[in-house]
Amino acid sequence: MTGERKGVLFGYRGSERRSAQSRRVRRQRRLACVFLAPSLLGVAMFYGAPFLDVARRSFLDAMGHRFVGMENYEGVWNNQAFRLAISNTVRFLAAALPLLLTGSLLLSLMVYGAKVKKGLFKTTLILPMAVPAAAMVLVWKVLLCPDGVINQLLFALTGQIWDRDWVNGITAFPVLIATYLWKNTGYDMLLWLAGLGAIPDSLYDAAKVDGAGAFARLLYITLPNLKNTAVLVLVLSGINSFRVYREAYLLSGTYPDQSIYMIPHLFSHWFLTLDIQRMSTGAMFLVAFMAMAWGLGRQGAWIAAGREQRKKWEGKGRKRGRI
Amino acid sequence: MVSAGIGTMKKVNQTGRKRNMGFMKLLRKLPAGRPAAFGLAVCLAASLMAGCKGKGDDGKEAASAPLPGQEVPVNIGKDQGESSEAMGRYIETAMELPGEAENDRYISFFQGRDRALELYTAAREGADKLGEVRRFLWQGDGWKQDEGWWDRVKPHEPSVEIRRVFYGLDGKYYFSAMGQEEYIYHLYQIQEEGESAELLAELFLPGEGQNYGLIPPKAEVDRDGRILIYGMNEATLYQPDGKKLFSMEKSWSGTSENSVGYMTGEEFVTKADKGIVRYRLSDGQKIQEIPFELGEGLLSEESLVLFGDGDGGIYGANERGLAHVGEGGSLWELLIDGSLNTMGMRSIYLQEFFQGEEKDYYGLFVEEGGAGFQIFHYTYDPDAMAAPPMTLTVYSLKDNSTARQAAALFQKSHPEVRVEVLSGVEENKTPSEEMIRALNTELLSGKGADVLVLDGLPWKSYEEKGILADLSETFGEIQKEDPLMDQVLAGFTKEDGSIYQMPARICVPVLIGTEAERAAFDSMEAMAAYEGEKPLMAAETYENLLILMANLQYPQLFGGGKDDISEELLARYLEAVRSLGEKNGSRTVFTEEEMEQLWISNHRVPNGIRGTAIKFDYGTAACGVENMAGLYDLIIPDAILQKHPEASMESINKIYFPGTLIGVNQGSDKTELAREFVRCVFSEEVQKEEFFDGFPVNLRAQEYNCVSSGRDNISVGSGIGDYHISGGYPNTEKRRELYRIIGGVSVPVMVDDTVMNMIVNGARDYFEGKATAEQAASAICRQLALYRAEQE
Repeated sequence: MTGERKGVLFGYRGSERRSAQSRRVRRQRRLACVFLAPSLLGVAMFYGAPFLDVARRSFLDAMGHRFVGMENYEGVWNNQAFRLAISNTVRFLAAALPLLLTGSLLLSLMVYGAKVKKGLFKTTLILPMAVPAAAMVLVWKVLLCPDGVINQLLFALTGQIWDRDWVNGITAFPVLIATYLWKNTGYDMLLWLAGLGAIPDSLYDAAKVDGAGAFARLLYITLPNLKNTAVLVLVLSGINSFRVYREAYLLSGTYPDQSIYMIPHLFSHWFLTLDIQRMSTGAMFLVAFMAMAWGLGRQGAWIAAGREQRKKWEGKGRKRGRI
Repeated sequence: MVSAGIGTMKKVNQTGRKRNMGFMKLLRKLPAGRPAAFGLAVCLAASLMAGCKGKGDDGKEAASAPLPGQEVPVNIGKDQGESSEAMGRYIETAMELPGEAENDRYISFFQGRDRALELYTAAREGADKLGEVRRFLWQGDGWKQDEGWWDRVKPHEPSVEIRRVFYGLDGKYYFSAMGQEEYIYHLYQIQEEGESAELLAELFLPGEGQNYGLIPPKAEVDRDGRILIYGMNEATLYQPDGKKLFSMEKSWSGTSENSVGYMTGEEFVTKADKGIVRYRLSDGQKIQEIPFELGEGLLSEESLVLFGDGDGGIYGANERGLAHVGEGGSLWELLIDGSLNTMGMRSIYLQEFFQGEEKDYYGLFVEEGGAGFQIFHYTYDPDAMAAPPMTLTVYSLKDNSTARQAAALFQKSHPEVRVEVLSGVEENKTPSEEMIRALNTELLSGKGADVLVLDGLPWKSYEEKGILADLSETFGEIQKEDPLMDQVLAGFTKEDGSIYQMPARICVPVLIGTEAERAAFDSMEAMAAYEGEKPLMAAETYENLLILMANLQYPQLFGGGKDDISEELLARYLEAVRSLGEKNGSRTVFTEEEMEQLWISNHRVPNGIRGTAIKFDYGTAACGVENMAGLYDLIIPDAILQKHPEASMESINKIYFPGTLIGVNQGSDKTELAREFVRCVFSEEVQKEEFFDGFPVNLRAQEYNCVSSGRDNISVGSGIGDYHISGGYPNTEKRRELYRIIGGVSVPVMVDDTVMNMIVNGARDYFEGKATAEQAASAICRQLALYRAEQE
């Protein structure tokens, strides 16, 4: 009886508690929606709606009066300037991102391991971020122009006259990568430092006790634990790489050396000539490329996760077999 | 009542009932709050009604209507027809000039004794000589001449020519004059009886070793008889006996008779570099500086007239209108919008502006070159709409005088329309790409100006995208009524007969030389191959030579405007420029010494044409090339041609540079009005005016320019070092000859700036000897291919 009553009581109380919990969850969800609403509304208004308009315009003529079907897509896809800009952008990402990620990681490891003046190193490396692009470009110009400091230094070293224009010709692309690295390495280093700080010291201590050397600790503890940070750094650096147009524009003008002709150059010129339909189509292509890259990345991650899972199962199986 | 209400509210809150209630609803629930709610509602409704009210029941102006002289805000870019009921603004009426003074030269216009209007003019005698000076007094309904005034006041000795008459604060009349035999300035006080007395005679005499003495642009006299002499950068106060008291700094002014500034009893007000300044006349100390920034849009620097309001306030009048600042204040209030009347016209210059007796104003404007003058009276009309109900917008990347002139005249003939002329930058500044982007954004959103001045804008792209309206019908009508140059119209007519833009002005490059030199300009190869005693052209930077060649040989290089150039042709072009440059000592960059020696600079000049007629005359080149943008540009070449009878002047390859390209925005909701404005731009009335931006394309305006008079006293001199040449304004015959040359041009040349920049940048290595012509041409072609690929 008591038990029954208890059970009834507990059962009643349990369902009451569950429903109270679900009510609370629902309320919290509603509250979350209320708090998110302004931001979502902003995103929908200022990103979502314009994006839909861009998608619409990509099927219309320049003034948006006439439906042209896939004409714009065909035109932009076959446009040599678009192809050059895309290939340069991809080339730039392929060359600059690994250098940036590796360089900033190395710097962060050095700063993290530094015993003294850690703050000074950090500040010095972050300083380029604080310098306005226009001022920075002036410095680059002083260094890189035909009468610039670099040519004068080379003259002093070799005794030969150097009048190379470093921002034009074969050196333009490396110079652009250098400016990008100089500007962004400090920022990425900070991100890496945050990731490094999140790795528990106990892991290193245990590894040390087990006799692991510095390289082994880096390989088996530091790098695997920085996986999530690496994704963040990669994404942010990728986004920042699109901003390198500013430096390219300020260094070489509206029509730079063809090796550093980027997507923003093309879009800027299209906007000047009111080719909004081309810009819209180009933007849709970019979105498609990014979606593809994201899809491939996700697929890679699933495959890697699957492999890991299989390894775990295989390990468990072997263990059972031994027992 | 209030405390009871609050107490009750507290009580309600204490019940703990959670009910959403509006404030008014809540008040209604309260026993004591009902009257309060009702009262509040009434107050709210009353205040809203009052805010909306335009006119009272009796039809009188509501309190919000502007008072006479109060600034009326203008709703820029919107039609004010239905939304704005604001009434009252200053209306401009032309004052009839005395019949005797119709062809006279303007001397002075001011309020004299008893604030009566006085006008002084002088009869013209020959090109640069003045005859009888006439004084007219306003009688309320017309002018009355004061017969024999000049004979009474002019000094017996020396013989002088009057410059300016003024009324001193001491209640006496003064006039300034220049000696006819010796070029010396004289200042006289007119005596009630007897000969005028000369003042400060010693001050204006030339110093030892000087050819000229002080020639002040303006003089004034204060209540105590002290004389203020305006200089170039300062104004100096003198005692009547010639003793110098102190100087006060002012902005630079030339020798014009109308230097900016005025005196009151205690103060001297003038314009300094940073704004309008007040000086204390007792000790010359600056007592106030009022910001006066051009960018703020109230007033611009040119043709500024300052005058006092009698209560310590300052008026400033110029092209933008009439602005006022109160005593001790620093904010300028626009009283008369210059864009709605003659003040905004570019063909005439504001010379005098002053306050009448009853918050009315008088303005005197002198026509360009001093040909004539007009007087306008500005009176406040409370029944006139504060601003015209319709607005027509005209956009130009650079400030455009022709468009502004047309806007001013169009408004006169269409009082219901306000023409708003928007420009990206001033005439002499370089516009940025951001301005084009901003315009494009507006055009894409279906807004944008109704009329576009397409100079510097991507007009080809606008045409392709359907931004521009077809004006063939409009120009068809214009051709019937007020014909334009056929060949220019043909140059801008498409194969299907449509016309999307048309130049309102054209500049024409001319060659001054003999038949042999003219033949050398037939092709770029001929230019390069020219062999003579002297080089074909004077030394120039390679950058300018490249641009010059691209412009003069445009048909050969760009295939009649296709902007297409092959690698082989490009290499030949570079070689031709180099060959030309090697013969005349051209450089990529000149040193300071070379620049001084060769009368040259390293700057890029428009169309690559520096104007080398004087070098032809000086003997450093076999011919001279000039870009003719107006009749004034003919003065020096004409003087040179007189010295060289073997030479003549002709156009080069029949080319011309179109300017003030006018188009109408197809998306405008006022296309008919815009077309009407286009007719105005191409009308004889607008076209006949000279703004140094090109020749008219209207044939009647061309004829008017040939026969008009009034500029005969103008002369221009030019010289460097020991070389000097000067000439007078060309006579009718010479003007006709120039228009004959202009009538022969038929090839519009518009070199794409981007293409030109690519060529100039790409050719640098070649001219510096770092690359061959083929290598440079190849690099340029790659860039050009990218540029073209963007548009494919």
